[in-house]
Amino acid sequence: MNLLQTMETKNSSIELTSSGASLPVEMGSVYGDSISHKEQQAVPILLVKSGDKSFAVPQENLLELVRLDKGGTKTGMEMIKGSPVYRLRGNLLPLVSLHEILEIGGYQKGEQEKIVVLQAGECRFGLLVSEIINSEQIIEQPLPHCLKETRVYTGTTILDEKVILILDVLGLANKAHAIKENFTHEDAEKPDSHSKESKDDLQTLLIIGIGKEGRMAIPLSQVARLEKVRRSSVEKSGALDVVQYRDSIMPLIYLSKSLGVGASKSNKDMMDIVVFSHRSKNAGLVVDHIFDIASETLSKQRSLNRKNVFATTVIQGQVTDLIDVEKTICEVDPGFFQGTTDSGVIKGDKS
Amino acid sequence: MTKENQFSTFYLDGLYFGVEVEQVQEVLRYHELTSVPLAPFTVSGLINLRGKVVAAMDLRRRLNMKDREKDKLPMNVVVRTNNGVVSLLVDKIGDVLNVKGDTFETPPDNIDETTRELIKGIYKLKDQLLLILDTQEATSIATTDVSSN
Repeated sequence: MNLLQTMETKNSSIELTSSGASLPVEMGSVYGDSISHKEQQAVPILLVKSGDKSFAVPQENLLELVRLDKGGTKTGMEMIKGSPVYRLRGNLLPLVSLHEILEIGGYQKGEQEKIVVLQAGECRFGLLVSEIINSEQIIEQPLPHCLKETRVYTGTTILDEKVILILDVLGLANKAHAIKENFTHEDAEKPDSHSKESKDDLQTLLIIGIGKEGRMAIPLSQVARLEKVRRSSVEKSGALDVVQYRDSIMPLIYLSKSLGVGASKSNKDMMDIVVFSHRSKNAGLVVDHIFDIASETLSKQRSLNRKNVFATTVIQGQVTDLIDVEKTICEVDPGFFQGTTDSGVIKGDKS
Repeated sequence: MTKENQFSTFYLDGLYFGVEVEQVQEVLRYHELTSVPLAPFTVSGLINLRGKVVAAMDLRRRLNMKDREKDKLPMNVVVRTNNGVVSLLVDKIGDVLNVKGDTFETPPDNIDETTRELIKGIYKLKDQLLLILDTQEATSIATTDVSSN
């Protein structure tokens, strides 16, 4: 194994120096930057493939591995305005595909079906890869100078004679953010400056639209699912509009009405529904648009004291209302959250 | 400049180049490359040089020359620079030459700017010109585009 070779070479060179033998001057200058005197430690990585290219993911960023069910949409990947998400135990996980970030050609749709769930700083996302190979212990080598600007690799290594690039998980997140402003935040690049305050405030939000101009956000952690419901399938139960959903009756809450922004102008046959779940009960929030998913630090928020609006903040450069979901639902269905002890819903689930 | 200088030479698209021999770590025939997604245009990939990862820079691309034909494999001139050890991909490797300093001249004004910036000067040999590459300039990518995205 190459790993062994590397270690052997290293040891022999250490022996040379410690025994006082003349380390060839040439070697010193040739490998000047690589023979660092500090002890290099083996680092655990996960080897993944995108197309026919292998990459190493540092295991310190690794949370778990998920296999996407082929064809099964209920447990698979879903799209929100071109951004893929995955339902991971009731929470929506933003997905980015490795081949897309790295602009690797020759990929075929449906080929990428494994999710590597990663955490970098406060940003959690799923990396779509075509293959998960195995975990390895590697000796990291520095990234050549000319590749520093790529900002998606932290270093290199050699496995079975082959050069492998080690992925910079935070870099990938930032890169994905640059491609599509969908899930990470600017502050991730400089974790030192803001990490303390952002730790409490950073959350992933679902951005939705109400009426013509209303721009609202719901913490993604509270969202169970996104659905489309045919207008004709809506039935009445007393004063409530309900739909039959997953063998149960789900009340519909028209967000435009709850927020008092006037009736929804939309007459589309398919309604966009944001589904909330609590103790196997569902409630559907009817919205006019589903725009995007964004991760933001909610530092600039202020309360404008509007009905069912928790606070107003700036997301992606636009003023956005944060919806008090709990209040909105309770208004229509007072028993919905019965038994809940979670009062800080807006903070979302950070575990 | 009358003292003799030693140069390791190579060919690129019909031109004859030299690098000061002290900067050259070794020369190699074709070495397998691992391509790097999102790498700058001039960086062809990484090579495993006896267990050490080294970046390979295509000098044809660096010098704005057309790419070499698909069936022609590049050779490596591995140089030591302030940017670390870098392998320069060239068409063919030549001899080590001893050249007299008095045949040296700075690059003339009419050659294209990229080439002028990357060569230190030209030795007027009897039957051809030897262009001396500035390895420091050639291996830095600060002046080149860092891929389109």
